[in-house]
Amino acid sequence: MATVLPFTVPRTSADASTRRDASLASRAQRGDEKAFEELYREHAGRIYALCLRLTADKATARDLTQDVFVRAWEALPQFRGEAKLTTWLHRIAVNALLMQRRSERRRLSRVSLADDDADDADASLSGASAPQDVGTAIDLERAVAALPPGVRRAFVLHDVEGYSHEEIASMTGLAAGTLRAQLHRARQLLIKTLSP
Amino acid sequence: MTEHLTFDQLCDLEDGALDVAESAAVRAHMEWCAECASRHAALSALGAASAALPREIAPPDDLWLDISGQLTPRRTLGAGFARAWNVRQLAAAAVVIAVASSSLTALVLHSRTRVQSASTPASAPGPDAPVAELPARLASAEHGYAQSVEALQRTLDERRDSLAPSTVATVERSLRIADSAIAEARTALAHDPANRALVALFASNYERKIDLLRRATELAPRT
Repeated sequence: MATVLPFTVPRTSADASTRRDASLASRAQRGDEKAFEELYREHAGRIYALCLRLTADKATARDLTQDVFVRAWEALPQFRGEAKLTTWLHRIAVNALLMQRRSERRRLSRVSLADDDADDADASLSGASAPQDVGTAIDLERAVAALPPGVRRAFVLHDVEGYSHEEIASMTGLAAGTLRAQLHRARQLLIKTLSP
Repeated sequence: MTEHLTFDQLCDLEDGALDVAESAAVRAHMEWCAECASRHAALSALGAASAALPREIAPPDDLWLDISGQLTPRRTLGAGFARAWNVRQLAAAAVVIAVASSSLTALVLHSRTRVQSASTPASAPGPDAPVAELPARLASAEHGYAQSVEALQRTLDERRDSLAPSTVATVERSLRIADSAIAEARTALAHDPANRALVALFASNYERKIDLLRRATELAPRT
């Protein structure tokens, strides 16, 4: 049996979900694949949603989700429970996405994300009126999917997932100023797209 | 504040990133500027719509099957300790291999030189000595080791992107040290293929390199 440090089980009775995660993670750390499957069932929806929004492509999102859970299984023995399991899985997803992007860039011999630097001089909202309806969730999802990858990542993590600037900076390694600029640009583009 | 607000100001207001005075000034501006108020309303509506997006989207039904097929069973005690190895221990292990190998090689070569007649020139390899061929028996053994090394190296290469750059650098440095130890033993062995101590050293160095590679492939990905 592998040597695993004890997993800290939260004491607050209010957070039953976190306690359940902790218990399942502890079993999975010791090699219980059934427990890991339960963790998957519990978190796959959120992770797949995140991956789908980050990648804007179903096939890539599927591969990324698969990668996240395989990596999570491998890294679970090192997981001490300082962060919530969801946060930890999200972090793995963002890392996996960044790795994937790096690999793609290497393969394509590109130095920078060209689409992030795409000319968008018309993005200014000066004079733009408020959309009568910001749109259905489907419209918004489509508009988010059409964003350049870098700004999409900032938007999804901040405005959809609710992570703070500091948390996103920690996950992505982005400087605060860069993150803020990407987030604002994403919002500009979305309002422009969703405006009638 | 007579000019229109910038989009950054509106975003900062929405994100609560303005101090009290700035926030008050921005809000005061929007009291009389319909255009900026309209832009702010659009931003607020976007924020509300984004926060209302579903948190979960059902993944494909068969995804778990693909994932479960890739889960490596947790190892037993020995491998558990292997998994607990960290990069520093890998580096230390490589140094131990190098030191042990060099010492043993020197010892073996020294012993051999002493028993040779004084007229026979010592054949200890210099640092620039060409790679000598091994006898068929040893070459075959080396081929087997090389196949194992290649397979593990492929696995490590595939995982390279998941490891921190500093970890990759340490692992590569450790492997270079291991390679150096192997090369040293190999050169000595090529000059003295019948020397059992050198054969054992040569095999041992390869096995240690394979062990290093195996442990490196088990390092946890950065999270």
